[in-house]
Formats: sequence, C-alpha cells, structure tokens
Amino acid sequence: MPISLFNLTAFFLKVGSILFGSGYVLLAFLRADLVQRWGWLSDRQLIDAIAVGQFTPGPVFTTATFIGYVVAGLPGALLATLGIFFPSFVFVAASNPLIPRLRRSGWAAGFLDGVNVASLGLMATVTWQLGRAALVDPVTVGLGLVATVLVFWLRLNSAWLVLGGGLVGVAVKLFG
Amino acid sequence: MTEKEPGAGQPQSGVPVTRSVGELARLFLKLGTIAFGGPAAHIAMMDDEVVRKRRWLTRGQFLDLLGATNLIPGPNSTEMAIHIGLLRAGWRGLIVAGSCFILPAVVIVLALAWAYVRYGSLPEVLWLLYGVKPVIIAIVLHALWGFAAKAVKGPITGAVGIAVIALAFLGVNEILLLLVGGLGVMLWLN
Repeated sequence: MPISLFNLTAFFLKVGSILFGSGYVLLAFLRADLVQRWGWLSDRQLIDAIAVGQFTPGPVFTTATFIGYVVAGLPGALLATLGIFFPSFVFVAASNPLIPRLRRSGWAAGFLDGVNVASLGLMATVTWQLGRAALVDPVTVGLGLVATVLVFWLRLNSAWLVLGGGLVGVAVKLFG
Repeated sequence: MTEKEPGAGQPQSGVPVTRSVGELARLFLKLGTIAFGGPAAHIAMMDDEVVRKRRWLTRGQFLDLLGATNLIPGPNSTEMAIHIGLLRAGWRGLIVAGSCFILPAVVIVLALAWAYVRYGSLPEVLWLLYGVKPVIIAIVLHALWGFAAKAVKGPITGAVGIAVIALAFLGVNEILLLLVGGLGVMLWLN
C-alpha cells in the first residue's frame, strides 16, 4: 500500500474506530500494518512513536501525530491526529444520551454497576504496575509518600504536585 | 434518592454556553498539559477537577460515564473529556473539551517529531519523568479511593472488583472482564 495522505487518514480512522483498551493493543495493531504489511515505518520508528505518546501528557493516541509526521510531514501529522480521534467524538455523542437510560432501567443498571466496578479493578491493576515501575528507590518512594499525604490530607491541586514532583526529580537526577 | 441528571445537549446550570465553553477550554487545556501517566492518571485528575472541585457531576454520574467509555472503542480519558464537555455545554462543549485535551499533547509531539526527523533519534528526556511518576501514583490512589466508595455497592460488586483484579493480573482480556463483570452483577441482582 503506497504512502498517501488518503491511506494514512483512512488507516487512523480505522484504528480510532475499533481499538478498545490501550497500550500493547495499540502497539500490536500499528505494527501489523504500518511495519509488517506496508513498510511505512521501521520497528525502531514505531517503538519511538509509542514512547513519545507515553512520555507526553494527554492521550497516548498522540502517537498517531508522531507517526503521521514521520510518514508524511505536517499534513500527515494533522490528518493522522484527526483520523484517530474523530471516531471518539462520534461514539461519545451517540452513547451519552443512553447512559441515564441505562441507569434508570433495572437490568441495565446492574450491568452498568458491574462494568463500573470492573473498570475500577482494571484501573487498580494498572496502578499497581505503574507503582512497580515508578517506586524504584528511596527518593521515589519518599516522593510517593509525601504526595499521598498532600493529596489525601491537604487536597493539593494536581498541577502543583506534578510540577513539584518533576522539579524534585530533575534536581535529584542532576545533583544527587 | 434520584440524582439530578444533566440532559445531553443542555448546559447543566443557568450558566450561558459561551462562559461554559470558555471554562471547558481552560480546564481541559490545563489537564491536557499536566496529565502525565496514562489514562488512569487523566481520569483521576478529571475526577478531582470535575467532581470534587467544581461539582459539575456527582461521583456516580462520573463513574457511569467511565463505565460507558470502557464499552466503546477509542481512548477512554479523551472520551471522558468529550462526555464532560457535552454535558456541560452541548455540542460546542463536546468539540472544545475534547480538542483542548488533545491539543497540548499534539503540539509537544509535533515538536518531538520534528526533532526526530531532523536529528534521527529521540532526545534523552525520559529521566525528566522520574519524579513525576510517584506523584501520579498518589493522585490515582486518591481517585481510586473515591471511586471505590461509590462503585462498591455491596458484596456482589465487591466480589466482582476483586475477581477482576485477580484475573487481570493473570492476563485475562480486559474487554472480556468488563463484559463478564457487567453480566455477573446484572444477573446476580435480578
């Protein structure tokens, strides 16, 4: 499949429309087509693209922006971004009005309760894995504890915590 | 007790749409800039801002939206932003909230991509997040605490929650766990 803006956009529209979950699923998906079938990217480039999506704030799907740029410059970046995110807007618009109805209907409310608590369970699992990767030495453990106190007791705003933690981390890495 | 449900497409309060849209833009641009750590962190921060601070939604409503985004394709945290925007200021809010959440990341990624193409590799910047990651853990734990208080309604939901955690660690597919969890609670309670 030749590289073209049309093919690029169509590909990311597809990804945005059918991809559940995140992380490894995205990697496998992108690799199958972009690297193995069409050769638009090398494995190295794909891994770097995923890393960029993970490292930057906001959605990890901005990996698409990176890939789009590498493959087809600025227009590619913008179209890939539009492609991967547009379906979400449609899905949300369609599903949003249904939610209060689910909540009101006896059976469906039970289903929703189950899905909600399952989502929590998945979130807890991911947090554990994040914790194992993040809390690796006395500094990080200390930061984690201090942040926990600040968040639970003092209700300090996330932005300050992220900034503070970031600065402490950088200082330790530079001077520690 | 029935919770007041915001109708989709209508602003939630008497606040005029233009003011709501401005608020949404500011909030989600901010979140899009500081939300490191993946979807769990994004959602935790959104809960803090939208449920705790601004009380635009109750925790129950927020959780329902979260469950719903898990059932549709696409990135969950972005979809949460879009839901919140829609409920707060109609279709304009939908577009603005989602776009503003995505925009800061797009700008940063574009800069990194430009450097990548020019210099051939990524800059060594991963170490910058060394101090941020532990903080993110604290933020997510805080949100989980609040969520669990609302989502665990009794022994059934509690059991499902624990089972999902155990099975997820064993590598069972996430979507499967969500659907089985949903069906499990639905059938048990009815």
